[in-house]
Amino acid sequence: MLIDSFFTSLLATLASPWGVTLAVLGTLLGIVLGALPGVSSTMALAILLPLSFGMTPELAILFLLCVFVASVYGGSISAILINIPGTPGAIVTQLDGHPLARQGRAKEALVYALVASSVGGVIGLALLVLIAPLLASVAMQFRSPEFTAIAVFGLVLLAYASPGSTVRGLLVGAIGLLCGMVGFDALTDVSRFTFDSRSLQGGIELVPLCVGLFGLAEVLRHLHASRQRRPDVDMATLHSPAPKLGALAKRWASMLRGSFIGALVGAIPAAGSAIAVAIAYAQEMRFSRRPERFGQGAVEGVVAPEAANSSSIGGTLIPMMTLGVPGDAITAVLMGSLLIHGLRPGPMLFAENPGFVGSLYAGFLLALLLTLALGLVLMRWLPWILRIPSHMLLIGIALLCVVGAYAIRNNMADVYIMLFFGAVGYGLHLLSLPTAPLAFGLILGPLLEENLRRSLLLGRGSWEVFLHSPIAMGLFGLSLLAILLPLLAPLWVRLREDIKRVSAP
Amino acid sequence: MRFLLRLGRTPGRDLACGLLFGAVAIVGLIEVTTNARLMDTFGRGPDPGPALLPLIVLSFLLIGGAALLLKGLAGWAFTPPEADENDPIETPPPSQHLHAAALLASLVVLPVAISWLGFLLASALFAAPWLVWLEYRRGVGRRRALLLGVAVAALLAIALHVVFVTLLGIAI
Repeated sequence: MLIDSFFTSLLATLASPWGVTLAVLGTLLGIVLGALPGVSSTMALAILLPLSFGMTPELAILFLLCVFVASVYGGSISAILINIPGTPGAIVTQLDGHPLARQGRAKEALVYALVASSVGGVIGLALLVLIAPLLASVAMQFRSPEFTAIAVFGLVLLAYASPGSTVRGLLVGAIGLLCGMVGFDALTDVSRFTFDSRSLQGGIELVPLCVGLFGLAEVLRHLHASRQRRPDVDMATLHSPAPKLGALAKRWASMLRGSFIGALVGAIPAAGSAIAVAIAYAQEMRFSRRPERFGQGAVEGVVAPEAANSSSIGGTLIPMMTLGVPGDAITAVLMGSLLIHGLRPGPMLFAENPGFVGSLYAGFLLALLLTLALGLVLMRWLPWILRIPSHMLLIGIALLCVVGAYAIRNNMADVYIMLFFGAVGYGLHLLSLPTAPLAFGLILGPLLEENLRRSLLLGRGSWEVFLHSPIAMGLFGLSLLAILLPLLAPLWVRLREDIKRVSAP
Repeated sequence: MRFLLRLGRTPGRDLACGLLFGAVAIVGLIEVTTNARLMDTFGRGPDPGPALLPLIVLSFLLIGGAALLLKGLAGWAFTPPEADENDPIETPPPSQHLHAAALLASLVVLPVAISWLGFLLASALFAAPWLVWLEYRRGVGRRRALLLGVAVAALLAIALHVVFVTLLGIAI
């Protein structure tokens, strides 16, 4: 059934000029935006999300996946050419990619990155196709207590992996939960946190929050630094010969190792691509016979992290599609798009919309193939992308944020909500607080509240209903561990040192 | 000045975070507890009602905010001044805040300008001064900054108008 809809939607997209045009446009925009320092994949997706509102859900997800996949590769371009990662996932690629470029082997490094990225993406997709339906069928057996625990566990894990302390991340997530409660309660129709404002009665939509938090807030942060010029790219290094097929094939082991690490780490909610690439790089060093070459232009140092970076996309989609828990900030934005189109990610998506799931897989594969093809074709013009002045880009993005927020419901109130969250994002950055848990809280809030209340109804008001579910108790235990671990770890280290000191002769 | 510098260090940030979370919690608790319809449903019958989760979350925020506030106060009071030298200041320059505030203010005015002048003209008028100023800051001469800024602003406004208004049919 799923395979049928996969092939049907792949052929339908390829036969549709509009579908192919959108996919090519999304890939081009993804490569360009991903390559620009200061524009992360999350920001690229958030500012281009409004373009997809008028599309069918299948075309919208195709366009956004093309942007997502291409921006992941785009991030490696600036990492290799100018030693500035375009996206956080490319932070490790620069360690060996830029030394390769300085040795006059920029084209080689870019081709290795592109091919590894494509292989990683395909393996990530294969794992998504294999694991997601199994996990979804398990999740179908879950009842409200389990879903309550999943929402709590997801929020804690997402806060745990955010930069800074877990507790601060959780507190920001708590504000996100409150944002999700703004408006009328679905069951009793009682208004909450509206402060007698009509604009707030409809609640806070995920999209203006994401556009403000991940788009406008970044513009506000980077506007002041836009006068700095980026380092020029040595064009001669892009005329060097590309690696031959045989040389690419010799790197299969690094690509496979990186891909599996990326997909598995990406599947853990909140782990994300930055952790996956760091693990892949460290593992590659461990497997290498000459680890001293790492940091000086080792090809494996580009191949493994790029494969991991791209394969983590498939991994992050697993918790989103099966449990309705975003794998990271990028999938939170993707969820916003699905919600706009009336599709709630979760186990029921597989039962109620198998056709859409198939078209998502098909869109993912098409995005990978297009990124590979366009990446190879555009390689000689890549330095031109890096010459786009950042101040022009930032003002363009600010305007795009305004139009995008308005486009959700043709309502200026959404523009002001977006501006508010832009300011909130800037303020959180000043206080060194993570911004992503705010979006996670907004997404998981309704899931948590609906299932918590339903659980208590099932238990006739008694909280003992959670004690009868081993899965829920296990997840609550893990959540508690994730909160306590950062608090107790320093105490444990100090205790161990004290014991050592006392027992020393 | 010394007070402002210390705000950028860890105890200052703890204090500011504690105040932020505490303030959100207090405002939220007032909103929930003074909402008679909301509180009427609380604890009545098997459905715990729409006040349950807000109260749990707000209590968590209040406790977390208070803990951070206490941590900040303790850090402020007991950190010797010489320890400040090992704690780097992470406060951005004031001109960054000025730029951010000015952009935000101009974006607040933009929807009003759009309703008066239409999207094309309002967005060009928004973008032009910003682009001229940012171009000028990069060390380009005044005349070149003016020409380039106005030209790019016009192109930007036309491009967005074509994509969103003409192609996507958004009535802005």
